[in-house]
Amino acid sequence: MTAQLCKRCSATESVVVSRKEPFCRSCFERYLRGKERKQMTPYKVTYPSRTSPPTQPARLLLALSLGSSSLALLEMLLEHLRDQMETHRGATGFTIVAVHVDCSPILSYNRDPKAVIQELQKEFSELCTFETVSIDEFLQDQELLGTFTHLDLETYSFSQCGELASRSVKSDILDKIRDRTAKQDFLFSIIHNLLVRSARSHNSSHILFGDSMSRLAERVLSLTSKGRGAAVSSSIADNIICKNGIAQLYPMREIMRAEAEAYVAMQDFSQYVITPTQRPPTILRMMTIDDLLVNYFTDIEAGFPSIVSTVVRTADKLKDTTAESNSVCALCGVKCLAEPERWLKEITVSKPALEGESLEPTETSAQHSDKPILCYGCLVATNSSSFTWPRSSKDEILRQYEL
Amino acid sequence: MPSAPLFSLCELCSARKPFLRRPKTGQKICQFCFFHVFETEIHNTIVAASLFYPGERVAIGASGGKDSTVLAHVMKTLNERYNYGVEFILLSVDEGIRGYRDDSLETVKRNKDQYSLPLEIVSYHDLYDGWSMDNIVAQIGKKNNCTYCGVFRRQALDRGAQKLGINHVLTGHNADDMAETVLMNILRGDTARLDRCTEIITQSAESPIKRSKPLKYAYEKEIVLYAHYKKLDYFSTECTYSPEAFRGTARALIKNLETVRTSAIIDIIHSGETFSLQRHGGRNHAKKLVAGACERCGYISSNKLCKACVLLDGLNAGKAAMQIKLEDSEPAESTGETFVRKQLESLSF
Repeated sequence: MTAQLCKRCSATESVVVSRKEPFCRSCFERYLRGKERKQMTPYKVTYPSRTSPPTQPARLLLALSLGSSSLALLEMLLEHLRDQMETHRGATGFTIVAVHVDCSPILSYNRDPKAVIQELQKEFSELCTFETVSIDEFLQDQELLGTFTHLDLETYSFSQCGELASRSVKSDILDKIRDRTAKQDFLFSIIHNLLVRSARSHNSSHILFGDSMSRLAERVLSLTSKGRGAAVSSSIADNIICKNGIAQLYPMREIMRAEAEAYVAMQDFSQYVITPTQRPPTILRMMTIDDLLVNYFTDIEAGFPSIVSTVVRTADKLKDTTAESNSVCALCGVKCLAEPERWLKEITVSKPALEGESLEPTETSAQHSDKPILCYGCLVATNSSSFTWPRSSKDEILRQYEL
Repeated sequence: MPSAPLFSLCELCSARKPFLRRPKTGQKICQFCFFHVFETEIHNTIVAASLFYPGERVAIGASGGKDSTVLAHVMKTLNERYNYGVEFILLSVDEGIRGYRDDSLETVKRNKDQYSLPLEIVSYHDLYDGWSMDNIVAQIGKKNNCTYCGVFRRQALDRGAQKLGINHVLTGHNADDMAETVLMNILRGDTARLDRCTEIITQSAESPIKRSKPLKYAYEKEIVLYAHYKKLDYFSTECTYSPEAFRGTARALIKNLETVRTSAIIDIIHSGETFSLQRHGGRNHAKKLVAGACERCGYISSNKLCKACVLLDGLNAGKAAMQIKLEDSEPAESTGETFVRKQLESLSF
């Protein structure tokens, strides 16, 4: 059997079939890069008029997880920069700082992420700066911890964490959470916060995430399934200000995961991909909600191929209902709607049936007295257990801010 | 696995022996507490949404299945316990599906006596020119027949309610159904329904009758347990005309999510309740439907003909075409098996 010809150029044999269409290598690269460039349109090289002050190219932070998708984005951005430099005599519309949050204290990988970052730095130093941030830096940053602390500090029990230097995300946070899905959620939240901090320190206005369309679709359903539906819109939309004036961008939003993987393999970037040594669980009970949804989409894509794009497009049409809310979740730091706990209590009664009891529901007035506000998702994730997000102790705060 | 302590007691009352593990929370509780929390949650839902007013006459859509049987039982119980002052009537639709609806209607008839509630049955056969679901499936096949049944049932319930002079129908949709609808609307991209699908009361320009779902937060598993331990008389066969495959995948996903995290079903409903579309009052507003009446049957409709009449036209046209075809065709031997055999015999290899 002879290989099919590429449907676009009709000249070369195809090497990959994507969305039922055979592509040769160069057409495939062009096709995917076109999708990335469409999203990066605001970052063209601009020539200001003589009277206006000179402008600096936008400084963007690339969240580099060293998975296929983020590496594919890195390669595309580097190629984009090379193109711009060639066409505009060395000028570029943006510069990139690639930041990898090193989770090796928590998960083991087939390669040391720090070594991979060094290799990348050596190879592409003229186009991009690379940086590694350890996950444990989260607990050593007073200000970062402060963002999670509820405004009314006096009423909370402060963390029982050990000394500043010996704190670790694994032992001080993740090991205290029973629920696997919640563990993953909080790890995600910590990584996100470290990235925002890095973006601020590098004066970046935007963080570029390498999430593919497939990943975004999984996020939509997983947020929905975790009761975090209110955050769907703000989590996957472009140009949403996530925190501290930093906005997010998903340049890979029109590229499927399989396409990103094929692209990475084509560009010889597979050597930089790191994979956790522990395989995702196959037993249903051991899975997290995210694991389950990855499997669901893998299974259903064969029968209903357009489902991924449908889900992402649907989520794009949702409004951010929390935008006007003043409440901020004390755990994950997202804006939340009021009184999720009351809603939950109404429909999940946990009062016993007692003889001679009053059958009218009794209003509990002490509900919002001394508890921090939690969004519904975090309320469920912690399942009203004794888990407390580590906070800076009162002494630490005094030491830092008292004059 | 940790072994259970020998002296375990109900996690809620700490007085009686635990009887079951509650599907919604995983708590080990006694039967008494289970009935109490299950009923109280439904009561809270009713109060929070102000579903009823005293003196209201309300129809309970009764199919004889577990959901509607539990609904009828709980409504009767709560009505007496909390003095809602509501008059309930059972309302059933006979779709005309042999081996399914005829048996389940027998259950409803028994429920009528058990709960001493009046019963009204409306049938597709009487309402739609003699078209029962069995006849429809015989004509259009097993695919897409849910479309017909859905449109017809909605109208049949409305007509039944109107006949009784009632403006409010309760349906037995449970939490699993709600969660499934939320996921289905996302997966299908049905944005028109996405932000309204979790509302407890649905009222539309296309229906004169208000519908509500008091069981929207009740887990399907708890409904089964409640019906079982209360020894309720219900019919448990699934419809013989199977639903579409895609809905099946959403249903399987919900069950898996529930296994991973028991609260997943209400979590999805909570998410669904927070969804809101970006363009409200914009383009959608311009297309707002104007309620009129169907030219043929007089049922409320925004078009000349109501949906049911359009579907009926299609069915009747198909029936006529089939009859003409039969009359025009050659004598019996050239059709069917004989015809195929003759064709095969004439082939040479």
